[in-house]
Amino acid sequence: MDEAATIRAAQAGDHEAFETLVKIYDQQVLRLAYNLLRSSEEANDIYQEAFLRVHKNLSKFRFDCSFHTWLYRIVTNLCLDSLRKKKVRKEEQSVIETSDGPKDRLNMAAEQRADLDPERKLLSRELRERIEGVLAGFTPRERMVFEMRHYQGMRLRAIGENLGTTEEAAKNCLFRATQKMRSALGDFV
Amino acid sequence: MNCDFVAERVELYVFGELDFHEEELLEGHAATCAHCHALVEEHRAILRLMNEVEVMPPPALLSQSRQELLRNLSAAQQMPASWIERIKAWRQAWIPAWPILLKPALGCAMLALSFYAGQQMEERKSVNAAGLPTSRIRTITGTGNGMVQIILEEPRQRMIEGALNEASIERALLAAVSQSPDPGMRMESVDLLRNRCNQDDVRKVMLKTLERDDSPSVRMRALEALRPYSGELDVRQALSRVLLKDSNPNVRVQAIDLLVDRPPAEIIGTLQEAIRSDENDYVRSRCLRVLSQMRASPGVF
Repeated sequence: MDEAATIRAAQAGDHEAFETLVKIYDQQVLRLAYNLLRSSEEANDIYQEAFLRVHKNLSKFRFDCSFHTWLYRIVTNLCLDSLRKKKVRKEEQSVIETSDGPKDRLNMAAEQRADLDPERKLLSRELRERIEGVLAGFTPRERMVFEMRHYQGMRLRAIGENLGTTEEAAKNCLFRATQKMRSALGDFV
Repeated sequence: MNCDFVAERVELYVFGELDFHEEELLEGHAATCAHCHALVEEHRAILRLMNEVEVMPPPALLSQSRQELLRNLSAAQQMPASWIERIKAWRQAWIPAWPILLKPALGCAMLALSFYAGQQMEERKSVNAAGLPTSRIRTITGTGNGMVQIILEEPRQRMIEGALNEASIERALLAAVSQSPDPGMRMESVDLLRNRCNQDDVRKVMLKTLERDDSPSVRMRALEALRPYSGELDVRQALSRVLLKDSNPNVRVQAIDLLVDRPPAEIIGTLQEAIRSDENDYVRSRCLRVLSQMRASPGVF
């Protein structure tokens, strides 16, 4: 069954078709939410809310855009709300849960690559602090555009569509984010 | 062409967001100007640094979220609908929506607009996919109704449209899966080809992507596309290699799921090997659980 037929079946109340639709996209949704929010609990909250909204409003989906775009509009709006709340609360933290218990994600990323090289490990610690500063310095919108372009590999045109804005606005966001990265990390490269 | 041109566009260049012409100009200048070459390399290095902090969800999170969603959906379905929702449902069922009456008029307006736009945009011709030459593929988009839009640059952009089962469209998608430097485009192409894995050439590319693509997300999508064929020998052999060699625990866990979908006896050896060699606790525990469900020993004697 192709995607359009699966969507129509789900709109007609076929639970299995809805489940199929979820399984096509849910890994991407979870990855986006997790990389942005850095917390299993918050990523799961976004996942639940997004797919419950999709389920509730699926009958209103009229194929005016791709299902991916429609779903991502819901997900990115939810993620932006969460990022904004985080920013206001200033609760941004870098601890994430792993199968081995809570860990600092930046330590983890650095350790994975530097554990055999003490010199690199030292460098990675300083680098980690800088990158942490860069991510905290992004506005929620800059963070979202950078995430979608760099980590998710989406084109600026699609990012603009998903965020309900123009390609030009998404381009400006990416431009500002890059400038911030360069001023913070330029002396590392 | 001068250094200012590069300085104004380098941010978009490293993200692959310049058009073909601007990209050619920038690369041409950077090849002869040490300052601009260094500027481009600096931007690329910064993006490589940002890769250091990409995180993937813990492998167990996906299945937990799926289970919770199923519970939430069944709870939502058992809740009585509010009176507003019941009125909406009644209206949708019994009153023909008024926009239907406007559809013919809107259709005419769209047709007129398309005709005008077609005249204005000579460069973006919609041509039959059979005329697809070997060109650079810029973007690929599924339109949701079994059709695909592919933007090519040669060096001007143009649009071709065609059905997924047209040979030239399929060739373009296979080329994008194997050759595109953009993981987003590779992902989109894998998704579009997912229902065509019964074709030999598609299957071959999908298996290669599953084992060799740089991006775990793309490998994961190839794995999903091969799910219906998880009982076939070539797919099972590839999945076994993925379970033992893939660098990403999420991909390894999904490989286990597919392998145990229809488990023949030979998978036992692969699972035992993964228990011995995998560094990830969750992957090892999944293997152990599957072996215990199959009443097989976790060790080799």
